[in-house]
Amino acid sequence: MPRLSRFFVKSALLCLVLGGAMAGLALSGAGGLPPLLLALRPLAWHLLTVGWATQLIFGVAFWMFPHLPGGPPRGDERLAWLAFWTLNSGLALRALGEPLVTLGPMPLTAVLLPLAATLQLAAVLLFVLLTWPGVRSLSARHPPG
Amino acid sequence: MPKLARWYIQTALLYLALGTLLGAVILWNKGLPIAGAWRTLASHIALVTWGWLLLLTLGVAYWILPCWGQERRRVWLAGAAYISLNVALWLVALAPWLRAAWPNAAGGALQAVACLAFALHAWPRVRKSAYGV
Repeated sequence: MPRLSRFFVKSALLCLVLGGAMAGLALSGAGGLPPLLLALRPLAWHLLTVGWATQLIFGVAFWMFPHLPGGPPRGDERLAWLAFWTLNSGLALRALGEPLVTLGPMPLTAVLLPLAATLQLAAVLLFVLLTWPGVRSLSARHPPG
Repeated sequence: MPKLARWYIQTALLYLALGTLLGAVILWNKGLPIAGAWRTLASHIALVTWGWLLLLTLGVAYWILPCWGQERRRVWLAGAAYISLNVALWLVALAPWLRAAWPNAAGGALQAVACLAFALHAWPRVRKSAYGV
């Protein structure tokens, strides 16, 4: 498993633990939950769908999808690393900024959340551009060992 | 990778980009208000769950589940699931703008049909492969 895939998968596992715990608390249905805890629900969903599921797919796709003929087998690995860091910094900024929205509009969230959105979108576009050529008919590799 | 799997996976990648774009608009809106941003919520959810996660998993399953030699049987069921899911997705994604209940109802029914069709295709393939594993 390439190093970047290990980073993606381990980061996905961390998001699973964090998002699972957060979802367990915020969705527990326990009465009288403080508003700040309820405000964590969108963050919990996104830690599970983006941080866990999508990031796990990114890591496994980078590892297992058919290799490109000629040149680096997985495309430009620097772009893939950039996708990893933009995705995770976007998620981290979201985790920081989204709960603050419940406290009312503030200059910090006006910067943090658009930045978080842009970073996550950039990560996805990078991943799509990198993965697209690998979704093809002929595999350059033999059955995975 | 077979042609139908490529369709599934490349379509999933397009929905990921589109769904994330709509999600980014909503998250932007939480920091800097954008008029009408929340209207895209249902489309965002449909695109990233049904469009991205489901289409990708079905495409990869179609690709890697054991075959009969090089042959995949009852391919038409997987093809029908692909078409149904895409039609359903656009009905559900456009429903907030169509101002009617029928697109969600029709989309939901088509999604159920697509899931059944793919399950019927995949069921016999979940078995020992030719390599004995």
